Amino acid sequence: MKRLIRLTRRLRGQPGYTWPINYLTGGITPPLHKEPALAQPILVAPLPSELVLPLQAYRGDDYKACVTVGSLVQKGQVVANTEGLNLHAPTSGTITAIVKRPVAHPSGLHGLSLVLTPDGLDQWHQAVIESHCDDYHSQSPDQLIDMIRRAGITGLGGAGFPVGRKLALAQTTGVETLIINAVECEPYIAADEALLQERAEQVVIGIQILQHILKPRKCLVAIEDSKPIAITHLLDALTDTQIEPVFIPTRYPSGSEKQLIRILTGKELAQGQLPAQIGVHCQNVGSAYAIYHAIILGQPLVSRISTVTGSATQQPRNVELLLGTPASEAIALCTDKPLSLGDSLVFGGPLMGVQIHDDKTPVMQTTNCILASKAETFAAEEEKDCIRCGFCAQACPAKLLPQQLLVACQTEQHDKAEALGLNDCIQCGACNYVCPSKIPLVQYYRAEKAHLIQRQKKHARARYWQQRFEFHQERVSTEKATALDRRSRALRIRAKAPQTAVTTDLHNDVIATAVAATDTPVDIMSAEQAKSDIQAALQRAREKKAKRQSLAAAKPQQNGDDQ
Amino acid sequence: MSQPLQSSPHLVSQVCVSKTMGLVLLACMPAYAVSTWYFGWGLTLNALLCITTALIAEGLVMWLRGINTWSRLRDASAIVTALLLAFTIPPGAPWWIPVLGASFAIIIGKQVYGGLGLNIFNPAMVGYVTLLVAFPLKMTAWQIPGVQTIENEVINPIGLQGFLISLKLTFPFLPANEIKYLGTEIDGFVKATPLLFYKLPGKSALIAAWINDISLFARSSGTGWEWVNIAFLFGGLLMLFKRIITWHIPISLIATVILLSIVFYQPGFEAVYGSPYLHLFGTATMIAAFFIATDPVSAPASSLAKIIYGAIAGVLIYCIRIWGSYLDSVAFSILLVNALTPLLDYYFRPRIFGEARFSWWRAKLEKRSVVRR
Repeated sequence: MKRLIRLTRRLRGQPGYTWPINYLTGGITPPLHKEPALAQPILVAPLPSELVLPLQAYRGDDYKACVTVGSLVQKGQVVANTEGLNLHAPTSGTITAIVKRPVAHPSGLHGLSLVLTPDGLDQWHQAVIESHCDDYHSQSPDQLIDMIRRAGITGLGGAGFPVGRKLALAQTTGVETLIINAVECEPYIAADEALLQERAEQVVIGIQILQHILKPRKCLVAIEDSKPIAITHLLDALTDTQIEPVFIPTRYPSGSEKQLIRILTGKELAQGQLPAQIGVHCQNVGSAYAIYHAIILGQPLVSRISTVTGSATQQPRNVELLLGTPASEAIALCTDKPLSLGDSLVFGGPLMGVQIHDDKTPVMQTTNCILASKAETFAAEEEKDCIRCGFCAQACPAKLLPQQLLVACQTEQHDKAEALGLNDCIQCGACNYVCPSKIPLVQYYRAEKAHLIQRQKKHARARYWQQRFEFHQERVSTEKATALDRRSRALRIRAKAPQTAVTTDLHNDVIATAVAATDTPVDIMSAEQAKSDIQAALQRAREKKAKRQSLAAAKPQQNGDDQ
Repeated sequence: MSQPLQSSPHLVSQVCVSKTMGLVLLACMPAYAVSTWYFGWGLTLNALLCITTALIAEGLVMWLRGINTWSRLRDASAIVTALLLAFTIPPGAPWWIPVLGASFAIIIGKQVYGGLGLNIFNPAMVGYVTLLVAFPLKMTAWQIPGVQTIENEVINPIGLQGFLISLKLTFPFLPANEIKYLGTEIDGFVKATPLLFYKLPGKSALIAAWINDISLFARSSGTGWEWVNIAFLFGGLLMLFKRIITWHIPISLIATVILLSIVFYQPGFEAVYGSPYLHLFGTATMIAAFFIATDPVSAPASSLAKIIYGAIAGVLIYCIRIWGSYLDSVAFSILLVNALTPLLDYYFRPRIFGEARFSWWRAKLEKRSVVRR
């Protein structure tokens, strides 16, 4: 029925429905719970008492701090950097400590963080004030990418991939379709929706900057059709632009990059394939908004809009939080009561979010939602036997067979798990959501994936050492061969020389050849020849030493890669 | 603020095994009501005996295995198995038939393999086939409290008298005083399944009754079997609507049966091959298509495999029914395709997102050719 409505709208040429879409395979429609947070406008959070900036960048990359304890910093000043990606001070103040603090990571391990105590002035850094550019058209794409990179923008959707690096990569391969992801399909999260409701114009300028950088043939903004207010604002902002809105059916996980690309273009990304390889580039609306700030206003990424919601909050709402704000202070804006014992705190949505152990954990670039729930809301139920009902296979957006994967994981059949496509699993949690036996499927898959990664590493190391061993064996055998060669040559020489003693013993024979080999050249050699020979030998030794040193320098690096 | 550690997803749906099984039981209810209306209390007695035995057997095994008995009994899977088995046991069978069938179905058919979700064969069908092979006579005689008695007295099968007769039939050791009023000891009335009659109708008794202006629900109209099958169809559609089962198995099974019966249909020779209508509504095809073959535990997982599974089941149902020596063939064909399930699961895996079409098959073929070389 809904498909019929879509079709008629498409035939009538209604905006948002003209782009042909493919329907998501699988997926679920959980209750959304987004209205409470959207009832009020975005709240710009007051300065917190302290800000914690974790020094972990994308995928184990670490920022290097360029300030010390006691440094006075100003808002937007670079406090740490790594490979062209900067971390900025979200407000002005003093660095009071560089210590290990809880960070938003499933392991619950603490990470090295900068602790910034605000001075309350919120003074922008001089460089920021000077570095805005009113007309981005006059700038070359490379310059703009550099500006984005320096502004420290990472993807604000989920994975947090550095935007500058992603753009540079896309620029080399060329982009046919630019997709702006405003789908936000996970329940409870409404940050992007609120952003479009209130600041759609800025977002569209950000998208236009992206268009200027990438020069795509088509630019689409995908948004779920269950967001009417955001859609009207978006349509208003999109008039007279080359950007096409696409309203897609409300279904989780339509917002996942792979799934969204399939919905909009019909192309499926194979395992390990990047969108750039098929000429598609995806960016989140939040990232587009951050790009607007970075280019037009020159402001680096120091804050983000986050939905603070859940059953433990009294008034859920969207809050613009400075990066590094402790979760407890964000929650305090939405409720009078502090979290009680047993309440659960999740960064991200209820289906893919990371559970947080400490309510002092700071907000990061990827924290699109702070979900504070009462203990009973997400209480885990007893795991029962799988009845192979197949609900999970119907819900799986990657078209896997979760029930068979489960058996492979439980019985530790790693090859079978791999053959069934475990690595294609996007851990969206749809199977887990629909399971009537309440089996924590995703947990099993995560454990198995970790096992597979470990196994792969082990194999890589084994291969490395096998190669080393084979090389060693080859060297030994060549050495043996040369020794034999030398010996036979010596025998030949001895045969030519007058016979002095008849030796039958092999040992004596070898000694004799050695004597013969050393004796004969010395006799013939002149003094000059000997000198030059010594020089050459010295030269060889020097070369060998240099080579060994360079090898030693290369070795630790190799080991580092291995781990 | 310390909470038990939990990895994502934190949100789960309200669906649970007990609710799913409850819906299956609910879907059985129309057929149960219709059966009782036409064939009396025998089914109820069978069902009660089967369910009680199944629960006791399941509880016993759980206790022996040292598993939390109550939580496993609550999932109601044993009740579903028992009820489906009860549908296949003729009303009026002595008490030990359902008891033996249900305990065999639960203990040998299900728990021996490791319990719920691990059995290869459909437990209800295992129980039924055991009974059918062991007690063929008892299992083919449908003894229904008579519509017509010797003295031209009409007994309502669902009235008190009918209940007493059913009770007597099920528990032959009970004192027979209550039903002595008939003057003779009633041994039950044998009423065969329509398959025995297919020489005669060939057409729908329902339509015949409609045309001849006989009440469609009159027990004498011979429309009982058709109503039961329609009730199963209705229950099956309910399960489809509630998305407990998918369309693949029922549609492919029914389509295969229709196709074969049309191919072999010869007007005037219904005696040999039966009419398509008889194959659909005069036999156990509907319960097989919607309730037995769709049992998720013993059916394959992917859509294509399900379609093939249903088609093979349909072919077997038709072949065994026509050329086999048993009256109906559902149980045997279901057990046979159950054995194919792992194979189908292995070879008809769905295409993974992003995978090239048939890449899995191609890889298999390449591997084989490498081995050959």
